[in-house]
Amino acid sequence: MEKSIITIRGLKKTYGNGPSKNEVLKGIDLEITPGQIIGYIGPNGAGKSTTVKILCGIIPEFDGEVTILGHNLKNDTLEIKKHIGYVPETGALYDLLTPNEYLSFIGALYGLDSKTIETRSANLLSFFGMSKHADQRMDTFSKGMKQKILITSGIINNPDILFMDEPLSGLDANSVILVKELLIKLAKEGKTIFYSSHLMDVVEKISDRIILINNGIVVADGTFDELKTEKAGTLEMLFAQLTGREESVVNTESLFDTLNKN
Amino acid sequence: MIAFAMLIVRILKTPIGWLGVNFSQFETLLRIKLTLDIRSGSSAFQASGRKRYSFGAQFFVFAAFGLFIGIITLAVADLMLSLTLHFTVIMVMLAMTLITEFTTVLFDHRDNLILLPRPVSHRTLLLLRLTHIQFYMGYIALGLSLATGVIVAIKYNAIAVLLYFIAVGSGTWITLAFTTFLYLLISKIVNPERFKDILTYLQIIFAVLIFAGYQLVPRLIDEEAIKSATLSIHGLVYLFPPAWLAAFVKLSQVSDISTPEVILSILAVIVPVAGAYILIRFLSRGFDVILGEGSTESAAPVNEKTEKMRLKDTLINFFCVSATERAAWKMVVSSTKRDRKFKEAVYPQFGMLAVFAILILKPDLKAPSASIHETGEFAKSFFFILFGFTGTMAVLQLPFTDTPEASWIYRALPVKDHGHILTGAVKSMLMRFFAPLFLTVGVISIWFWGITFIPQILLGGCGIILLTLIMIILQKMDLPFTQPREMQKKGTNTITAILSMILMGILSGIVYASTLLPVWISILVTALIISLILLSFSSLRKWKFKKALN
Repeated sequence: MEKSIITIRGLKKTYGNGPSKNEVLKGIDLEITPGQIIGYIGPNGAGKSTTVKILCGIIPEFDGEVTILGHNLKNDTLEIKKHIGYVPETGALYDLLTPNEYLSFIGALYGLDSKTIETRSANLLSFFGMSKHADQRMDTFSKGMKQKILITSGIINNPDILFMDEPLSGLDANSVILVKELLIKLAKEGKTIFYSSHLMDVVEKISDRIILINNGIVVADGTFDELKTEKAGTLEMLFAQLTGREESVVNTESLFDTLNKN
Repeated sequence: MIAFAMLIVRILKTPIGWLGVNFSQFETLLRIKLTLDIRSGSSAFQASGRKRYSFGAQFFVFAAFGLFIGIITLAVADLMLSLTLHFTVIMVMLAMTLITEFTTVLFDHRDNLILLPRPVSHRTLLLLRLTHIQFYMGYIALGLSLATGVIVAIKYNAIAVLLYFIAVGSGTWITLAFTTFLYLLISKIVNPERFKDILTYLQIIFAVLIFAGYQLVPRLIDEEAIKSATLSIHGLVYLFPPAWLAAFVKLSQVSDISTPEVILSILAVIVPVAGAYILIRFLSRGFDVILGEGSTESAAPVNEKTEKMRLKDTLINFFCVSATERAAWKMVVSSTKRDRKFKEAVYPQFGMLAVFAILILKPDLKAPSASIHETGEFAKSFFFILFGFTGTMAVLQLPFTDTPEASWIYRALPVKDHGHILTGAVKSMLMRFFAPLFLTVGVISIWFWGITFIPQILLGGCGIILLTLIMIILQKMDLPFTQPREMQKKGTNTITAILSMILMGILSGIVYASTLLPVWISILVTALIISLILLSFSSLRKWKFKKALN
């Protein structure tokens, strides 16, 4: 069996305490092997973003054991961060800078030399059709343009593992196709993609393995072919079945009653 | 500015490396931070969302105040005592400025998703934040010390001036490192949510202390006695950083220096270096945890319908004339209760009242009760009007928010008269802040000066509400939470304060005049003011808000 690139044992995370205590992750156990695209899905508030933020070292306090690339996340965070990339959902970038300035900055934090940064930036920006905007300040960019820069900055260090939290947010159809092709290519190159999303069709098409979490625990884990059933032939239907959507379909009737009556 | 900052940083490259900081990353990060400051047309001064004066204007204010403290403290004959007093004032001011203005910069988590996934150590991150703040604190310290530097040059010699400015830099760093040390210590004891609350309340307490210090300390100092005093160096003085810095400057007077003073001056050099080493190498671990917790979703407290809430509903129904007003009331109360920046802007004013009360009533501490009873009629009126007016200050904060983009909801709502939203919001703030405060002050006033004072209290209370509404009309106040906090442009606070003082003076005069006339005239005027209040609310309800709604 291939050696795991990410090992998670009993991962728990709780926010607050007392009456406002909120246990977001209740014990996640996972083994992830290299070169796979992992579709990490779940309903709102299931703990997807929290998992990703923990694995990227953004949230340093958690319970459980996480090993990435053979390093313990709590003890060797910096070593792990050198080999990972992260693409958040929102436009978390310094938008008073230009793409070139921003990518130079991010590259320098990874210790890349200026020549490498320059070459990679130029290629990546060209790939996303952003070359002509390379020296414009990003505060005038649309959400989709900013998202392209976020994806670019997430892979500029050529990471072994790429964590993506809703990376297609705000992208147009052509860009979505580009990103999907890029992810498949990266996986073929041996990179691991940890892809957290709500977009079931994209996850279904590109993922080698799908992990579904609900209420802080893993409720399904396998390839789409392994997971689909006679009753749930698409990932969307499977999602609905496993996360209690059927229950809410019944409630839709009473919702309309309420709306019509009041 | 960036080139100068980077030059200083490069000079310190080796010691920075000893702290376990990645110098290359540190340099890159600092350059970017300063570039962003310049491009945003703001600085760490503005990051707190409160100070909005230009760089030059700020420097002028600090320099003017520095001249004042320089003249006062250097009037003391003994060099050690005068400089110890001087550095005490500067360090206390810096600590208070740091706590009130720069805490948000230190724990700013807006760029967590940019920085925390990168291979940047907590040591590099902490030193980055401290250095970023140190540049601005150094700027304040330079303003405060400039005039004293000139006085030192005239009184002593060039070496004294050089040592003095090194001591100022050292004092700034000690203040910054010590305050951060305390923060990190607190963060290790309490949970993140509690830590945020403690920071907010610390900021509020220190804002009040700054005000109290400015108002009261000069009145308490016996200038003549202190001019001829000297500083005797004993055990506790060795623990007092301003004395270290004073001794360091006294090194310029070689013939006059004692062994204890040499020891103190050595401490002035060793402690900042050792402090930086301990802070960055051993305590920075907690810093990334604090930042990381800023990336999390907090657990919201569960609201339950209680008896108290039912009482509030009754009040809302009584004071509001429409469903829109009621909805605005509830929305504004819920938001302002949880908004830390709103609390920071409003709550210190209540603390400052205690200081004002002392200044107005000037109680004789040996017989406070008797002296308060003998307070003049105008001072009485001014006392409770000032308190009541402070209770209305929260209203003026209503339009400002960190998330003005959320105001799209006003444009989407099928509401015809948006003025109801403003009046509902204003009523909620009056009920939440003005009513309890004025009631308390009213009871205290009756207790001090008897029930014959009731007509004046009623007249004053209604007058305050009317004046608040006049200020809203004059300022053309926008809908709640529609304007970015940065919109509270420079000078606005000063103009508001001046206008408030004029209006308070006029109202106090009217209330005072009413004590000289028959009671029925007070009652009549009060009734007239109530009618004007109702008319003002009616007029506000018809307002159109072109700025917020287009």
